[in-house]
Amino acid sequence: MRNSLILLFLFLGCQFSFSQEPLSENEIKTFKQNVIALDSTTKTIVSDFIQYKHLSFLDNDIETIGKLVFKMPDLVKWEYTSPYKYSVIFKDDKLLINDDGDKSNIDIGSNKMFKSLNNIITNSVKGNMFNTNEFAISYFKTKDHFLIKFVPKNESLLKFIALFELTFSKKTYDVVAVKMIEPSQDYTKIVFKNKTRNTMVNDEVFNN
Amino acid sequence: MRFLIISVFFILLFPSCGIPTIKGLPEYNSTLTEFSNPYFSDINIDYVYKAKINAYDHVFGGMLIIKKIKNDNHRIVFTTNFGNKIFDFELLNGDLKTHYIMEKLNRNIIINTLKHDFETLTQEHNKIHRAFKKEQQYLMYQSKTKNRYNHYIILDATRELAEIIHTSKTKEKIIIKFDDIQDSIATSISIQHKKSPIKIELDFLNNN
Repeated sequence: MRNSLILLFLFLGCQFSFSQEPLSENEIKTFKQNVIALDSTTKTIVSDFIQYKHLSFLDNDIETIGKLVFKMPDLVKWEYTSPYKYSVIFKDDKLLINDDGDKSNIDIGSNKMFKSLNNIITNSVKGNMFNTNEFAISYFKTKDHFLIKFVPKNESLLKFIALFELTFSKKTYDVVAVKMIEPSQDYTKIVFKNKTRNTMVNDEVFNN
Repeated sequence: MRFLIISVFFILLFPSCGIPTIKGLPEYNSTLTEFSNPYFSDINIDYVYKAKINAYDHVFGGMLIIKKIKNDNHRIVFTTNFGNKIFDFELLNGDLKTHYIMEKLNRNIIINTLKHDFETLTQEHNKIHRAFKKEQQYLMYQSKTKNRYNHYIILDATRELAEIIHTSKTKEKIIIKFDDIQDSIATSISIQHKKSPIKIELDFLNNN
């Protein structure tokens, strides 16, 4: 009997710690205010990240390590450093790509889909993705985090991304992870580490 | 009369218009009846490669992931470096199932080309139709696949698979070269098309 009770408590404990509770209207309001306040004082972000590519049929997720640099208003550089070298810079409606020394540019000015993706990437780095009609947004909390789910309304985007999830620290209101879930339920998860805001970032960082 | 002479000339010439790959090579009686391609045959390995696809003057970088699910069944996924899927195929008993492909690439000619490439690359059990000696250090096993042939070029001393040449009855179509073999994994692979400007280069990334 005692063992059963312990098991029951353990089970309930696990359920509780992983459970997602919807935020109330007031909590949503406070949460948004805090994120927007943090965003409005942000001029630069520099962070390491680990990217996990999950494919249901693989034994292990594919791990890629890199560095992210953001500078107001919309300069973003994603740089993968291990196990391969690859970087993409979002700059002036262009993608500047460096694939292990092979450099190329893609003009995304006329491509609505890329523009939309660029906005998502920039805003998810900053955390401020709420002022948009492009997603149906729902708000949850766990023990240590806020979990915000974004379902694209655009049909062509929905074909390859069923859901975005941003995880925020409850203490700092910083984005700590971004998860992009495909319609097949395979996903890409990016976890940020050693994130710093408002350090000096030279514009040369965004040259290819 | 002149037409008849030309016809006879062509008929006499015809037997020598076979597959160029085996032309002039001495044939021998092999005791082996089957050749097993070892490179994608371990069900416990996630075969993850950094990929560079050069096609019609366009370069696509990303990751190619190959996984043996069971006998005669491989899953083949190509993603961008960000992790977004470009295509997700499954080869099962010689048939190709498309789990996902980007809209722009969803054309029969592209899917069939990729099917030939990946079938040639991953097909494990191959009945030996004829066997040849090539130069001093190589053996070549010819295997029939529907209307086409695969030629497996093996280093005689180590029995290591060095190359696969995929042909029709008269022409070479695809040449796959395997380099830098470590623990039955080809860490460097190149897939070259003979008739169209397509080249795929793969470098193994350890994911186990």
